[in-house]
Amino acid sequence: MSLLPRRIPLFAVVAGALLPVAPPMPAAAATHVVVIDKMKYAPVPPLKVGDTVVFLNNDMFRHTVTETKNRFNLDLMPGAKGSLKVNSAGKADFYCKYHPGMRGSMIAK
Amino acid sequence: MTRAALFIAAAAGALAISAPAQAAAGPTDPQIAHIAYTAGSIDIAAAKQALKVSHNATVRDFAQQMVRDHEAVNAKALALVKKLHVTPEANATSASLSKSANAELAKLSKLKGAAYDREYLNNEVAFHKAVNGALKSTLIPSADNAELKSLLETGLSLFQEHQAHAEQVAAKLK
Repeated sequence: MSLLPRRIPLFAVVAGALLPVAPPMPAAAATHVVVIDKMKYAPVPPLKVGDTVVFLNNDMFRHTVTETKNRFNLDLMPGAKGSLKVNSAGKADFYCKYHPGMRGSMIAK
Repeated sequence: MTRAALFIAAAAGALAISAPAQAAAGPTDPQIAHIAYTAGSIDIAAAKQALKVSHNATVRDFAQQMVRDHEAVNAKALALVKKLHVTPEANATSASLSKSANAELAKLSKLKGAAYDREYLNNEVAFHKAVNGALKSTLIPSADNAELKSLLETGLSLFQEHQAHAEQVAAKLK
C-alpha cells in the first residue's frame, strides 16, 4: 500500500554527511530515534516529510532495517546507528535480513 | 535425579527435550545458566564444523550467523552470571546435551558435500526446536532472576528465528 509517486524514493539512507536527495526541509522537521532491542524494533512514530529517523541497535545481535522492496537498507552491528531521511509521503515496511520475523513499518504524511 | 534433570533422548540424530515427569521443582538459576550456555556452545561448535566442511554459500551464511548470534548470547550470559555472582552449575541436562551433540558432530564428520549440508541443517532444525521447547516449558518458567528470565526470553525469540531460518534452508537443500 504505497502512497508514493514512483519516481520519488520515500526514504534516503543518510551515510555520514547528508545526501543531497531531500527536497527543501520543512521548518518543523524532527529527528526520531527508534531503538532496536531484544529482537524487536520499537514502533516508529508518525513521520512528516523532512524528518529523520535514526535506528539505534541496542541489541546484542547484528540487525538490518531492510525495506521489503529493497528501497533502503541499514546494516547495524550491535551498538551502531543509521539514519533515514523522509523524502516524500507514504508507507514503508521493513524487516531484518538476518532475523526475518522482525518486522516494522513507518508512515510519513 | 537432580532438579535440572530434564528427560533428554537422542533419536535419529535429533535431540528431544521435554519437561520432567515430576515437575514439582524446576532447575535452579545456576543450572539454567549452565544449560543455556551449553546449548549455545553446542550450536557454535556445529557451525564452526560446517564452516570447515561445507562449500554451500547458503549453508555457510547460516553457519556464520549461528556463530555470531550464539556467541553474542553466551557473552551476555557470562556477563550476567558474573554480575549476579552466580556460578553456573553442571547438571544432568547439560551433560546429556553435550553427549548427544558430540555424537552428532562425529556423525557429521563422516559426511561430505550435499549429504553433510542436509544432515547439518536437519539437525539444526531439530536442535533449535528442542531447545525452544525446553525454554518455553521449563527454563523460562523456572528462572527466578528477572534479568536471567529476560535473557532467556530474548534467546527464545532468537532461536525461534534460527529454527525458521534452518527450516527454510533445509527445504532448499532437499
